[in-house]
Amino acid sequence: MIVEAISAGVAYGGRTVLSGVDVTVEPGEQWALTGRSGSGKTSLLLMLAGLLVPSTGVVQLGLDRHEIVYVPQAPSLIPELTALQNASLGLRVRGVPPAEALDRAQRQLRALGLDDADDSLPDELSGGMQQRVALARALAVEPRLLLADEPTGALDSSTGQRVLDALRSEVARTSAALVVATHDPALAALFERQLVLDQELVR
Amino acid sequence: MTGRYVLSALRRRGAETAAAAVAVAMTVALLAALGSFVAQTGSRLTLLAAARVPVDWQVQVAPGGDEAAALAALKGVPGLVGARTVDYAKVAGLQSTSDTGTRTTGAAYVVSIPADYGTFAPSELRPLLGSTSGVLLQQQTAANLAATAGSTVTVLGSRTGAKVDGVVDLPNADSFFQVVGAPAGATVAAAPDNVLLVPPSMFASLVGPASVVHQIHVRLDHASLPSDPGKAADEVTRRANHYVGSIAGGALVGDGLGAALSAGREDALYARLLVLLLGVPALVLSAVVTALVISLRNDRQRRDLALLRLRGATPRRIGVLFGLTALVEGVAGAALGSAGAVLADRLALGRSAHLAPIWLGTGIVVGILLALATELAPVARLLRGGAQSVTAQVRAPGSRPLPLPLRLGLDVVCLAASGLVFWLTARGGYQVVVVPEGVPVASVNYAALLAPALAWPGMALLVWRLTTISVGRSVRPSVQDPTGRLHDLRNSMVRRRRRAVARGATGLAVAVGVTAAAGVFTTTYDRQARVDVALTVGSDVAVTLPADSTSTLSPAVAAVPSVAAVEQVAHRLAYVGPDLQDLYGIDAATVGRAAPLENAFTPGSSVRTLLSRLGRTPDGVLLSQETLHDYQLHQGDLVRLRLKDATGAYKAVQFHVVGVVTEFATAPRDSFIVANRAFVAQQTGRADVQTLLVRTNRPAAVAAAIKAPAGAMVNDISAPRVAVPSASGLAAGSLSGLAKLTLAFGLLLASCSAGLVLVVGAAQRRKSLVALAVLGASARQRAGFLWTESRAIVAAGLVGGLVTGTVVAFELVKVLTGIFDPPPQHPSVPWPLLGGLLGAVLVTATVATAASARWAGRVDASSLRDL
Repeated sequence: MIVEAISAGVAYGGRTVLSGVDVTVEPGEQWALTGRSGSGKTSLLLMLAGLLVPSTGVVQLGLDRHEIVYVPQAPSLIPELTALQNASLGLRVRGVPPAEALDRAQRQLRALGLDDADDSLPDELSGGMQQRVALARALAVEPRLLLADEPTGALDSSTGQRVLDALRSEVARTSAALVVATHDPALAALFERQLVLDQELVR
Repeated sequence: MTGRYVLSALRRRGAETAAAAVAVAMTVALLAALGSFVAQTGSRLTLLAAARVPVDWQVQVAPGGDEAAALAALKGVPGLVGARTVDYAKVAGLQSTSDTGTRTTGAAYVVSIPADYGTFAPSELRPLLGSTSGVLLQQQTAANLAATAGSTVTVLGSRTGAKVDGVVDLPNADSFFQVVGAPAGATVAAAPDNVLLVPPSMFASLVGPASVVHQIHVRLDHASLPSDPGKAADEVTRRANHYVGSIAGGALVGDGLGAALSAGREDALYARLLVLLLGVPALVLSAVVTALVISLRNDRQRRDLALLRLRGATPRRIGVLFGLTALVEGVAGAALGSAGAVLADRLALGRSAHLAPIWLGTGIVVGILLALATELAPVARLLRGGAQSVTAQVRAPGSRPLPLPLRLGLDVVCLAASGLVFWLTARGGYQVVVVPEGVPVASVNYAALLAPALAWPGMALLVWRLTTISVGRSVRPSVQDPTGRLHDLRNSMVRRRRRAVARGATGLAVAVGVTAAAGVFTTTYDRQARVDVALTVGSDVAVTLPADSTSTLSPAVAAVPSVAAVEQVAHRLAYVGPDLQDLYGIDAATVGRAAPLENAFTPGSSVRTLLSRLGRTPDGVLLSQETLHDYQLHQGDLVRLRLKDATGAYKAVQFHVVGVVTEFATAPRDSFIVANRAFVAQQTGRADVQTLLVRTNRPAAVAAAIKAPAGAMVNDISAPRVAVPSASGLAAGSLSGLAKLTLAFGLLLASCSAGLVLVVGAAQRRKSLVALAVLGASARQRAGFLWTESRAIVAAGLVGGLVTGTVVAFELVKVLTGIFDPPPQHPSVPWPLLGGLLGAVLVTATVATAASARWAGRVDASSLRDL
């Protein structure tokens, strides 16, 4: 078990957005998390990432917090750092030497189809390219659990497909677990396991 | 609904609302206090100038005129407080006999004064010994006659004697014996050495057939005069003219009050210039800081605006909602600022100070408008569809070109122009304010003010440019980062935020510069004022010994605890041609240990060089500029002075001119002589000294501890009575008020600038810091990004501010040199103030950065969902 939520729930300002969620993620598993807008997908991902303390129930982590990476829906790049620096950031905060971090980050950028964006600032990249930099940043640290919130939301369908393939194969290569939140049923259908948040029920 | 929204918005943004109100309060308080200062300065200076006049008018009855008619006509003068008849008669001499024999003076004045004259004009008579009414002998005359209270003095040619009731000093003898109606520019006659003051009942029998000058001394009500010194001077002059006209020229008016008020015009102008050069930059800075604080919530404002638009609010409605919010903040700030202004006014200008309602009102209106404009301007831009451009500005940190003023090179242009104007002003002898005596029009060389006025924007832009350049240098990537401090990434981030860093550093530099410049100016002024008083007294403590005293007191004074040095000065009177001048015999090698000396006193040479030359030339003499000019003397010339020898007879003594001196301890300002004491003693056969100059850091205690012989006087610079009013001294109280205002608000603004710039920077990067937290960055790593930027801003701001303050202070001190008396050799550095300023900025920056790091890096549900 990498992470397990037991009867977990979240409430914001007295409004319950998620309750009674039971889910266990094992090493190497790849999940799609679907549900209508406002069903609590992001909240569940944040709980599983250990970033959000559940209001009810518990979330148990079976690994170190540094082995989990959460990729938010918006790329959330540092606007003052280049694409390569942004992609290396996850490694750097984990103490990886600068040269090695840049090298690994560069490989991930290439893997996601970003060949000429190393020195570009986020503001000079399209929304899709920014999203790929954010994914490269996450993959570069080779996490044991990657939680991605609508990772292809800003990409056209073919690019989205290509990026998702790269994401899944890279995760598989490192035997990591992957949970992808998406509202796109077609995308969710690519995953063997699906978690549907609907009327607070988990299927 | 509107009220509910406004209340809810204010409640949700409690800290921002409080910060905005405090910032508005700062501007309101500074503007109201500064404006009130300007309004009060004139009236303060008028009252101060008027207060130092011993007698407002000396009405001299024309020969053969009707004294009673002149006195009666005075009743028609507006604001008349009182009038006293004073008669003067010049007699051949005075004589007194004592145990040591009979002594006779040269020509003397016998003056009739009423019994209450000491109360009527208290600053004309300073009691020294015995009674303050009856027959009074002037101090110098008493010394010449070896007379004291109880002695009998006779007027040569009169058989009537007068028994002396007391000995007095006539501190304002020059005006008391002025030649009323002398043409402008005429040589001022020296006050007589021998004066006998008697009651009217004795006057006629003492002076006999001597011709008598009848005067009426007049006091007017000063409170009713216009507040502006210039207008008050004009008003008094008009009253005097009207009076003279009413008695058909039967009397002339010596208008001491009008002359003093006229001199006060200069101080009023200098005070106004200082407000322009020190107060206005502080005010502009205050407004900028206020705008910065209110603009802190621009991001939140954008979100609120978007929500309101989504809910169908019209632009007008949005404007009303945001405007009302800003109005509440503005009104709260104005109320707080009004209280602050009252406090600042009291602290800076004294308990009697009161806020000028017009300035308080102006401050309140400006504060509220500032709050409204800062809140509504971005809203208007956003509503006009400028949201994209605003976002683009936020998101393109390093790609924008330099601001237009820097691209145009305005920093270089302003500084070059400032230097040029300064050079031109220096060539003209820094005559910024010219107030010709007797001429009602004052002239201000406003062009000279361009030097410091241009230095402000020039230095601010230069700090901006240099910070942009230095922060923007490319960063070499780290090869190793074993501690995970991410130095290279932190530096990259700061480099790309160089515009924001440079803006913050510039604001801080201006705040520090304003405070430093005001501090340097004030410290220099205080130091020169102390030198001025020390010159009047002679040193920290001065002992004036009785006539014919020996110097045996010197070792006793030197033995008093806390005495650092004692110097003996022999005071003589010497004739230069027909002019009688004061001569000071000194020991050139050691006089500097106790006498206040500045290079400014010795034009064309340093004090050290000149005294060294005097010491090497036993018969050397230093003369005043006026004497050198009037007698066409030059260095090396021979000059023969007549000095009294041991027998009391005048003897010609040959000296060589070795230099020029403009000021010396206890010396008058016009003409005096400095020579070697040993040579004077050898030539005249008299070794007596009259003054001991004492250097100490505890003047009052040392003065109290000196056991002076009878007849000796001990003065120290801390005694209030020695604070002799001078033209520039008048401004002291007012200028110190301005300095206190500028310093206090400068410190506040510098601290606020440092804190706010850093908080704004952190607020702008909150999203990045949360993203770093999500990536797993530790609190220390996240805070490191803020600390790097904080260090860059504070270092550039402090260095830039200190350099700016130095440049502006140097120009201010030089350009406004006329306000200093004596002129300073160099600006004085207020080290404690600068230390406090640096400390305040560093502490504020540290607290602001630490607090921002905690707040901005906080990862909670709200910040995570905003990613």
